[in-house]
Amino acid sequence: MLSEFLYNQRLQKTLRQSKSTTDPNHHPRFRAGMPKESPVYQKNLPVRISISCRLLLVKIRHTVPKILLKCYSFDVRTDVEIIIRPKKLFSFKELREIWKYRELLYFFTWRDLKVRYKQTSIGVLWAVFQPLATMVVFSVFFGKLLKAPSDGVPYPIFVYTGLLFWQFFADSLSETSNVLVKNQAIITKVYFPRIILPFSSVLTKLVDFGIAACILAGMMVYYGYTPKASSIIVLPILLLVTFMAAVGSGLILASLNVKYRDVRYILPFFIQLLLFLTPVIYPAGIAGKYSWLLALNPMMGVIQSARAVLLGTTEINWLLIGISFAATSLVMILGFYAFKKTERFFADLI
Amino acid sequence: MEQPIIEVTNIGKKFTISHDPKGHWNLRDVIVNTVKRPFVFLSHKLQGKNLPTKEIFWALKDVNFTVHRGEIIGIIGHNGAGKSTLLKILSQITPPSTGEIRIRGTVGSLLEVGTGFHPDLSGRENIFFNGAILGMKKKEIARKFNAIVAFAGIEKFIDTPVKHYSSGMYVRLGFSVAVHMDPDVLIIDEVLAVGDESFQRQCLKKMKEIAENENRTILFISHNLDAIQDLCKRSILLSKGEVELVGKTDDVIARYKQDLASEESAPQE
Repeated sequence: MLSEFLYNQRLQKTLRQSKSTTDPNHHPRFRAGMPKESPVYQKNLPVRISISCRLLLVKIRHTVPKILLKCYSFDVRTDVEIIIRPKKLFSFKELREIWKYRELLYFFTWRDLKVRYKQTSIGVLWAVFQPLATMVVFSVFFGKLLKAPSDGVPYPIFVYTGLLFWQFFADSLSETSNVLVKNQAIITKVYFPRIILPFSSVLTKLVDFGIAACILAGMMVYYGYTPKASSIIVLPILLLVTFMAAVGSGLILASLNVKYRDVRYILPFFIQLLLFLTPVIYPAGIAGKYSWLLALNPMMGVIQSARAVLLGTTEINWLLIGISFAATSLVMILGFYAFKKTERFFADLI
Repeated sequence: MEQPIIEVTNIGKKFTISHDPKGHWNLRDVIVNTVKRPFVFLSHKLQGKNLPTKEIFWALKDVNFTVHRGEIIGIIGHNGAGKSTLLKILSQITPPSTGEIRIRGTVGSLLEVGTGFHPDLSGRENIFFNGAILGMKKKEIARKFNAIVAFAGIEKFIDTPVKHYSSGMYVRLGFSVAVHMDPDVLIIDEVLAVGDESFQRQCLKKMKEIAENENRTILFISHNLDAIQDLCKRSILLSKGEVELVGKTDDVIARYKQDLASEESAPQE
């Protein structure tokens, strides 16, 4: 009871403070009765959390009826109203807006695919060449010469399954973290929901994944493997996990990259390092009792499960998939938060 | 009375500019200085000497105005008066630091001609991509495709990569796409300066047509005072980030010229 009393007192105090301030460039949070700069807000985490919750509730109470109304209003033209204010982190209006701009997602992907193989002589074959060449080199050196264990499966198909998902992850990650800087000219001149850019770059990589997956299918026929029936469920989940891992961390890096270009130099090195920390060229079992450490890396769950489902190397470990899924969901939420927080200032910072 | 389509209240935009007496501090400088003269360097650091100082600069301050549907508003001012910043805020590219803008309708902005044109793509492909970036639907672009090409006058080169276009053709294509979108408010920055005279006249005619026949609103920045006089009934004069005058174009232009004259006669600071 005492704490409640204290809390109320604090709230009253800050309310008074916020009213007495007549600073013209005040923060919108003043309206909700709590300036962010106020020492009470800064120091006291419980107060901070409770204020945030209140803000959220108020926001929900305000927006939900509006959304319902808008869903049922057919006259699109008149209900468009743009309000430009100093700051807003997230509103449901933005979701509607992203939906409105969905065709742009298609166009960005289409442009990237079109442009990529312009003025090349073998065109789309490059998408096949890269994973294939990597697989051959790895098979010769790690498989043949170094005799790396491969869970009783021919090494080429073993490593290719891993590479397929790894390549998708690595390419998407590096592409998403660079996409804002690459499209600098557009960002500073036109408005559209920026979140479309990272998503379109992943979609482009998904096409590459599809092409590379055809080779895997060919290899499976050649080596005589049939995927388990459960792969219909598992493979999409694995793809989703890879997607979320790449986009989530990509969003964080992309928003950092806008201000600190260091990301561009660190990332390739980091990705290379990560390749060896992920069981792509070796089976996860190699680490013995420490293999749980590898499981901290969501890509390990993806690659091991892909092998289990396609090649039958191990039993499907649902727990592992679940953990990977949960971890990448968290990364994705964090990424969204980081991106949304900086999104409005991209044009100023970039 | 009808509500205004654009209401701008108390808009301000601040930037932080840093004055750095020694240029940029990078890691190497820090290491070299600490090794060479550790105590001098440290005491300097502690006293805040040679450290970059920050200054707040208001690019826009307390800007207020309203625009009604169907108006063409000219915005004039010196370089650095905040015209482009204002347009960037209006087109949601950068957020304002203070104030609020209410726009009752959709906005299309043309801050640069041919935004997102990719040199390797053909004119046809670029029309679709550029149109999509500007917020058009694919169907809409397909419907207007012939009109866009005809307006730009590049029928013959429509399947040539844009990198082989002359700069005039490039600008014509970019403007043509932008002018064929259907926003309630069209925002145009100084973009016509590049085209030849006949194309400029064609554009001005088209803008007039859009505003009069389709009741759209246009915000138009230009240093071409004749064009502003011809096109806009009302204008806004910006000076050092603040609105100096909103009113009839003739008055505003007179004031602007007066400012220019007084500035030229005054001795340089």
